[in-house]
Amino acid sequence: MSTLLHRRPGVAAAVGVTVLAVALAGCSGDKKDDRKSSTSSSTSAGQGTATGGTDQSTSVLGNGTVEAVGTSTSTTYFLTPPATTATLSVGPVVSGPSGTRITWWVTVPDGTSGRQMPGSVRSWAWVPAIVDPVAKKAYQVNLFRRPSGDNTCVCTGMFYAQSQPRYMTAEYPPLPAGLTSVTVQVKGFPALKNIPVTRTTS
Amino acid sequence: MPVLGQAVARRTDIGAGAPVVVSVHGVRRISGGTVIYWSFGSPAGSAPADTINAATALGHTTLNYAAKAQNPDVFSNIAIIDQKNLTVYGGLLTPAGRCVCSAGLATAHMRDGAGKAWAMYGVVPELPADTTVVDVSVGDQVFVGIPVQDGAMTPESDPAQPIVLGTSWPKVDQTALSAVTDRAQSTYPLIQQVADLAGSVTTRKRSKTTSVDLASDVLFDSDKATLSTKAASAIREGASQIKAAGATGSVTITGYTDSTNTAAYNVDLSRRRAAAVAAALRPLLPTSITFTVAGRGEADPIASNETNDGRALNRRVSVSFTPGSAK
Repeated sequence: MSTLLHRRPGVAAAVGVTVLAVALAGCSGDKKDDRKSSTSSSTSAGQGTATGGTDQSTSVLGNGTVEAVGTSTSTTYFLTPPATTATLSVGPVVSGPSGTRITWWVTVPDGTSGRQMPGSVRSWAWVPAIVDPVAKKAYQVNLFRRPSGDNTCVCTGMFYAQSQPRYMTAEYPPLPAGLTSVTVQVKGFPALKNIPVTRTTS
Repeated sequence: MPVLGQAVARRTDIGAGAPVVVSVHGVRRISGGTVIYWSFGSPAGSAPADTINAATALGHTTLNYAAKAQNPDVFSNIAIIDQKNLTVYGGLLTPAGRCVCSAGLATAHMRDGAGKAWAMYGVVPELPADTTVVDVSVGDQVFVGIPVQDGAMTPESDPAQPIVLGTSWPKVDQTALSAVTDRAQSTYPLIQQVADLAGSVTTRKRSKTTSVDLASDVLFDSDKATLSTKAASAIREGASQIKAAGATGSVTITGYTDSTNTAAYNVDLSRRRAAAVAAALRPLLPTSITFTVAGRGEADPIASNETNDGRALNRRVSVSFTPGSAK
């Protein structure tokens, strides 16, 4: 079973947006197969899809995995003993005019008990930073001010690292248009360089 | 079937079990709000049924985007992020604290186990007319580049019962939507932040103001208000960022501390540190820019004071201004 994030040209044409999706057409890992549209579509204003009332679950759910485009390991990531090797994996960095998203996850070796990730649920200091190596700028995760007055990241809450990946996403400002690769920094891990940037068209 | 963005979640309590695929299918303007159409479900055969826990995968303890920090249920945890206007639009709530969204428990939708995706909706405030593409958060995941379109998705059906994806779209509860009286409570300011590689100077943009924040740990020794030998380069970089960000009128230089020590001590220390930074910045900025110096101690934390890293981020001297506005 392979993992993919890919484009679906048929849908993109219908809605005017490049679609990024987890493998939608089964688990073959064949990009050609993944390009199949899940159904006929029509998304003109005021309408949804011409589904004909049929169940689209299988084609949309895919296999539920994300392909890593970079990994690194650390034995010092977890702040409390026992020392455990942690693996950082980074999925696609997707950027467009509206913003930038990273997908990332931390795992421990098979057979190892799950570990609490450092920081609190949304302690944004532990969320990845995206570095533009050309401009030498570090884009940090976007924040918003909650009604309580706390600044909270626009990101998935961090909980436990297990042997199975728990994918997390985070939002950043749009990256410069000509930037094709970035460095990803997560506290406690070596920096991941040359992570490609995938562009949305909307 | 439009799939405008996808992410894969997994239960948070043990970090294992079946993956939950979250998809965004539409962002639509309707009268009185903006609808996010989305779905979730676990792929067939992905894990034993007893490991499926969509409730924790989609939100767990988060009260993230709910107005007044209320969280009627896991499906109310939705938002549209408009980075162009630096605004977050969270789920609308009625005066009774009910979301305008698909109701019910995740377990009800997952009663048949893996292999089905379920169509959901939630309503956030109306977007500005010139906003055409946004980012979205549903199911505790982020999606970017989602186009904004007009009108509800059809055909519709009553979302009181779970809706299998593809059969119809959930009909917006107009009774609940019309009961919403306070849309401002669901609108939050967004902060974008870009730092230098050393993390000593961070520019933070908000809807009306920009701040150039200098890390106190670079500028000062602990509990001191005299600039350290390491401060000079950070001050120069800060001045460069202030000019690049378009400060032209008056700027406010505010010192902040973490929450250790007493409030009075922190206010005094932060005021003295702000004054030291102001004195160092003065020759580096045009004389047309006027300074106001303040110390606010542990107020306005940018990060949590519960962790070392958060406290370090809160120790800062912030130079804030309205870009391009001469006063």
